[in-house]
Amino acid sequence: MTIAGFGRVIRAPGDRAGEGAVGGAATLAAASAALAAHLRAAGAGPRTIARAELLLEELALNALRHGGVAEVALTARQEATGWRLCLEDAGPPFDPSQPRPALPGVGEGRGGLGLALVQRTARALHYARLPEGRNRVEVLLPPE
Amino acid sequence: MEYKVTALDGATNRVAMSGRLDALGAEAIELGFTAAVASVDRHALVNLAGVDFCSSLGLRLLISVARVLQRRGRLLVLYAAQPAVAEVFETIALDQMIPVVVTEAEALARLAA
Repeated sequence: MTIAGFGRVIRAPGDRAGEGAVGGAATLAAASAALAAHLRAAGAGPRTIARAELLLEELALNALRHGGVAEVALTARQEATGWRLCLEDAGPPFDPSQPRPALPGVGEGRGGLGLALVQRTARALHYARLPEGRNRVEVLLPPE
Repeated sequence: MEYKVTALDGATNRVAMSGRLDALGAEAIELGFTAAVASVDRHALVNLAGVDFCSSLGLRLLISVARVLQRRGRLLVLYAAQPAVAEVFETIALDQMIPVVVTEAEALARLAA
C-alpha cells in the first residue's frame, strides 16, 4: 500500500512585526495544520499528530529564526516503522542532534528548550549537511 | 489563543487558557498575558483544559510568568492539562520548575502547602 507523501515549503516573509507574530509563526501554524490534517487522513493517532506538530514547530522555527533562512522545506511520509519528517533549509550548518546544555528555559542560545524537546520526543534524529550546502534533518516519530 | 482571568479570592486568580500555545498563540498573548497575570500581586491557578498544544514558546511564556510571580512570593500552578500538553511538560520535567497538578482542588492545596 502506498500513501502519498506530504510536502510543503514554509516561508517566513509573510509575517509582519506588530501583528503579534514575527518570524514565521503564522505561516508555520498554517503548515502545521496542513500536516496534522494529512496525518489524520492517513490514520495517525492524536499522540503522533501532536508530536509531529511539536517537532515541526521546534525545528522549523529554529531554522527560520536562528538559522536566518527565509524558507524551510518539509516533507512527511509513512514508513513501516512509523512517520518520518524531513526538513531542509539553506542556513549555516546546524546539527540539532548534538547535545546541548540541558537547562530548559535558561539556556536560551540557539534552541535550548526547543531542541531539548526535539531530542527527547523523536525516536530517531538524523542530520546531514548536503553537498549543495543545505541542512537536512530527519526525525522518526515514536509509535502511537 | 485566549485567556480569561477571574478572581477566586483576594490573593488568587484563576486563569483559564484556551487555544494553541504554539509560537503564534504564545506570541499573540505574551504582552497582555504577562501584564494580566504577572503584574498583579496574586497567585495564578492556570486552567489548561482548553489548551490542546504547547511548544517551547508556550512553555517559555508560562515559565517566565511563573518566575515573576515567584520573585514576589506568589505561585503559578498549572492544572487540567490535556494528554498532549502533559506529555510536553513531562518531556522537559516542567514540574521541577512549576507545580503541575490535575485538578483545581489540588492547585488550591498547593497554595496552602
